[in-house]
Amino acid sequence: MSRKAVTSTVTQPSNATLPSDICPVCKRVRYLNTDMRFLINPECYHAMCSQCVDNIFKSGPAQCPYASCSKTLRLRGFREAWFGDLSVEREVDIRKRVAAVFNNTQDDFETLRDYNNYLQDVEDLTFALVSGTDDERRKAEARLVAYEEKNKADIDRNRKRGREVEAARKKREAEAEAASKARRLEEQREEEEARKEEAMLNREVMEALARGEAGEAAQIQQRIMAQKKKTIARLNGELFPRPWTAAPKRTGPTEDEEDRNKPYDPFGATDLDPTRYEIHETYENSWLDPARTRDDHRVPGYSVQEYVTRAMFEAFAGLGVAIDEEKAGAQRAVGIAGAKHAAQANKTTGIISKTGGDVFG
Amino acid sequence: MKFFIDDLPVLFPYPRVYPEQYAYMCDLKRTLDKGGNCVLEMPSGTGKTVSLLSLIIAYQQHQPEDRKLIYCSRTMSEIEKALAELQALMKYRAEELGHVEEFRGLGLTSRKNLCLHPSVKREKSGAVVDAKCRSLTAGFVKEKKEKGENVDVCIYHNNLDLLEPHNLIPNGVWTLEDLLVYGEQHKQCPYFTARRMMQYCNVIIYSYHYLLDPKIADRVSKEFSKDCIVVFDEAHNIDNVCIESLSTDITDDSLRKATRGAQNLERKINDMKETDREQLENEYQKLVDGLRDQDEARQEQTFMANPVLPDDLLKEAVPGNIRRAEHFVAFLKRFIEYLKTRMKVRQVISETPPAFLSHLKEHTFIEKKPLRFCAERLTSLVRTLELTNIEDYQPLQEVATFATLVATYEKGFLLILEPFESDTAEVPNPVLHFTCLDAAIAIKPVFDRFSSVIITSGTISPLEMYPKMLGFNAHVQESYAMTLARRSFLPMIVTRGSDQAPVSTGFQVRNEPSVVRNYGNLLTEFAKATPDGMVVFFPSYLYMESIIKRLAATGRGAVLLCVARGKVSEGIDFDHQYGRTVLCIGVPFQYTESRILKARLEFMRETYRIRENDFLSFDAMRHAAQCLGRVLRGKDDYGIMVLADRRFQKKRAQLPKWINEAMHEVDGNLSTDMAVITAKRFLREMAQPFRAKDQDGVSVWSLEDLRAHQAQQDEERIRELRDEATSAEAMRRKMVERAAQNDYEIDEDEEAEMMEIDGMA
Repeated sequence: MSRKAVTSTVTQPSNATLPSDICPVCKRVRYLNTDMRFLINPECYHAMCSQCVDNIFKSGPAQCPYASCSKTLRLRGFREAWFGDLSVEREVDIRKRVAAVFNNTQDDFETLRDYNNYLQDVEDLTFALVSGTDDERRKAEARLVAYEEKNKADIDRNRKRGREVEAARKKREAEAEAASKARRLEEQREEEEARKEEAMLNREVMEALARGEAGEAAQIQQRIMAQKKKTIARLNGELFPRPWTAAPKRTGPTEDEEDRNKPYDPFGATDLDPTRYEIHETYENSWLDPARTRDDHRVPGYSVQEYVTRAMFEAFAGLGVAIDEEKAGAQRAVGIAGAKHAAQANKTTGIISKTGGDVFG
Repeated sequence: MKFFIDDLPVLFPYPRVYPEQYAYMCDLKRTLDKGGNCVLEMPSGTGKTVSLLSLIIAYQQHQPEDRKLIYCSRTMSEIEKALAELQALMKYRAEELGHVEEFRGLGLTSRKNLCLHPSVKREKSGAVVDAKCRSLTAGFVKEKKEKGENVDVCIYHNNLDLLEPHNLIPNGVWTLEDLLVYGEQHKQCPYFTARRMMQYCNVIIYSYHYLLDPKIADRVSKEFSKDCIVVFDEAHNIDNVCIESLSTDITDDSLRKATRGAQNLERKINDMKETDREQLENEYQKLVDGLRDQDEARQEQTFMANPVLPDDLLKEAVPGNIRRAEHFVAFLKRFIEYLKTRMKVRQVISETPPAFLSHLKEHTFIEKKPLRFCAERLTSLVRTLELTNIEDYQPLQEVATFATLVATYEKGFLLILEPFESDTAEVPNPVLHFTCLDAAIAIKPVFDRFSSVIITSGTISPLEMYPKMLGFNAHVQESYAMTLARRSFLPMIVTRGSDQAPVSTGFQVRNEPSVVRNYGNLLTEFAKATPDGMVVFFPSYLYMESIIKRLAATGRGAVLLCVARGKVSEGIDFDHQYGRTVLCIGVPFQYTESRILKARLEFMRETYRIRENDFLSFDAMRHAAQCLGRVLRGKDDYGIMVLADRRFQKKRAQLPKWINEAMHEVDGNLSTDMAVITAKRFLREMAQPFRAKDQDGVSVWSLEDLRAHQAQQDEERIRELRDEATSAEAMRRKMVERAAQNDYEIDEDEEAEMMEIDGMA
């Protein structure tokens, strides 16, 4: 029996809640039958105990034993209800069916408002199916079927996507779980190690004391204890810094932290803009012109600007470092004069750079 | 007395000040100047509150910008005490300055304590008072009244509307008592007076919950500006307050009531559909447009507020599938039914919110997003339906809050379902604990919003634990020792009985006859030696009973036997003769088998790298310290503090600094007989005449002493600076010498020249 048929013919169940102790059909009580289970059939959501189901429906389809109900039920359709409130059970069954068809997500809509309207639309339809009058229900049913026909491809796509998302989520969760478990194990192992280490040291102390000369006990103990403290502190401290042993008294943002807050600078605040010269857009130069104008130069991507920048950089790179002067100055006792000289040299080169275009002349 | 800290004039309402108070104020000022948070520990009974208030008031009045002080304390009596201190301080300031300052200080507590309405105030339960009050004061009730309908209103509340909204009560400091009296005289509601005047106050004193519990904080404390100074006093338990404010327990009973509530709602909706369809339509339209009206009246009257939701979500429109009232009620019913089914399981389940949500979706097709809006949507619905008997919907509200929380937080929460009350119970009584594991979540908005948060208590050691657990940066962390003219309290650790057998309440040994006998002896011996009252703390009721059973009661004076972590250990002071000796038997560990505690320990280990044992030990020691602090309530008081357990020996470092420093090395490992001898000697010393004058200059400073201290400090600073200067000078000289040897060094002039060249280029 298909689900579609089920929901379309269902009426409101007469008693809404699942009985807990007495079977409404055979009046057996739980007191005498501790393993009593109640089953329902989504055809009419009338509950009865599993024994009744066996008795009545084993030999084939039969009418529902409820007096007011004229549905024909089959054994196959019976199952246990998940909810105590059978009207909710029924509602959820309907929702299951609606959700399988209307399975768009927010990403399928352009605005939130559209999505919300869609949600409300679906909810209205569900409501009509759940608690509407016969007429409303019929209409909703028709709409549902029509929508399913019309958007078959979309529905399939969404279903697939939903499964993928779910699988990804499960995978992620499992990974996180495994990682935390591994971490936990690692910690346990390390702790165990620390404990072993301590026990070993204790044994060592005892042995050393037993072997040692009389009167040297204090030294032996001291030596081993010092060693012990170090190892244990290492093992413990790495894992868990104890809040009340470490800890500086006053804390504020350290310099290190402040640095970390700045954006990353690959050149370490070095200014790469030229300071001793400026680069012009163009330089008058006959042998550079073809590279600038002819297509067979330009198409492969040769950039005159790149060349100029580099040539200028190389031309000026050595300025400010006057090796000769410095060498000479090194013999003198006071370095100031040498530096002055160097600066003087700079001044002259600086003037050249003002008329920088000539370099290519 | 009046003195200066840096350039800040501080008026202190007493003629003398304790050195630690001065140090405390200096550190406070430093924090306020810099902005940021601090953790300060100051011994109990040394006037923490008054130093705090006098410094901050001085700071407020001195600073041009108006920084409000929000002072949070734990209990009603502490709030009352703080208000009285504030009143005295302001009176002193007025006398000293010669004029009354423009100043308003108010305390806020629940409606139950501040109600004047003759029939409402008779109610015993706070929740009922709240509900009844709302039914008389809600906006729609007033509208109905204006329309001429016959409805009950509260005259005290309505009178407020006749007053100027920013001047409901004159300037000055109002204790809760004063508020009630003023309210009665002027026939105005003290609760709403305080609530509405909060924005116009310089100082507000109220309970933690108004700031930490997101359900209340959103309504009460929303309007405060960023530069408010927030103080949490007695904050040693603040992490537990944070956690409790976000945790909920759901039982079968509450679900039954919630179902009834949902059914009532459904009925009301159907009624309204017939009579007043327009109202529902209005609400619906509002929800479609995503409007969230922010008017103040609403703030006061809402039935419940939304637990911490990110702001962007609050601005978002309610999801379409719960927009219509009937859809929403069906949604709630489905959710409640789901919970009911889950509660039928007969084994312990613990799962994370994402796992819960995915299971929920599988069985009920409830998505995360509408669930998140549950609380918000319910509030709106209740408002639309104009419900008056709100207390009936309390359980439904709890479920809605739970829904919102579970859908909002993925981490830091856990759902634990315990079907039986204890391991041996036969009859199931399932409880679904939705427990917050991360104390930082509730307090985060406070740290985010306010620039200065001060956390202080008498016992808050180890200080480093708190920033770690609550997730903030403390710029100043300080613990003050107690300056004493004589050794007025005697902390001891008893590790053995008189027969040298170790005593401990450790699980394996606690019931051994020798341990029980030795604890019994200890108790009787100290009861004999103590001239006045004595307080004894046990780790649990069960253990207390088992010891008392075998105890032949002797001794003079009164002995109060109680349980650590109970009411007595926190709220009640035993000053002077009421408590001379406090005996803490056993380390007051928490009940470690609790699943909630286990989950929290696990979480802290994973997230904050706090080891299980470290936390348990920290928690036990803060409670032990609280117990010890009960007997010493000031500098003229004296008392004996005994920690009786072998395990205390290793935990000494975790005691507050002021207790630990006062403990002599020899007193750290005593047997009962030795401890009694030490105690007797101590009591003999204490019996010697002691004049208040002896304290002067040592543990109590007059103005001259304070000035002398300040002068000395200044001198020290000058010396330090001079030292620094000379060392810098020496360094410089050295540098110059080195430069002389080094030819490549370029001196300043040349450098300037070179820069010029660069400029030209």
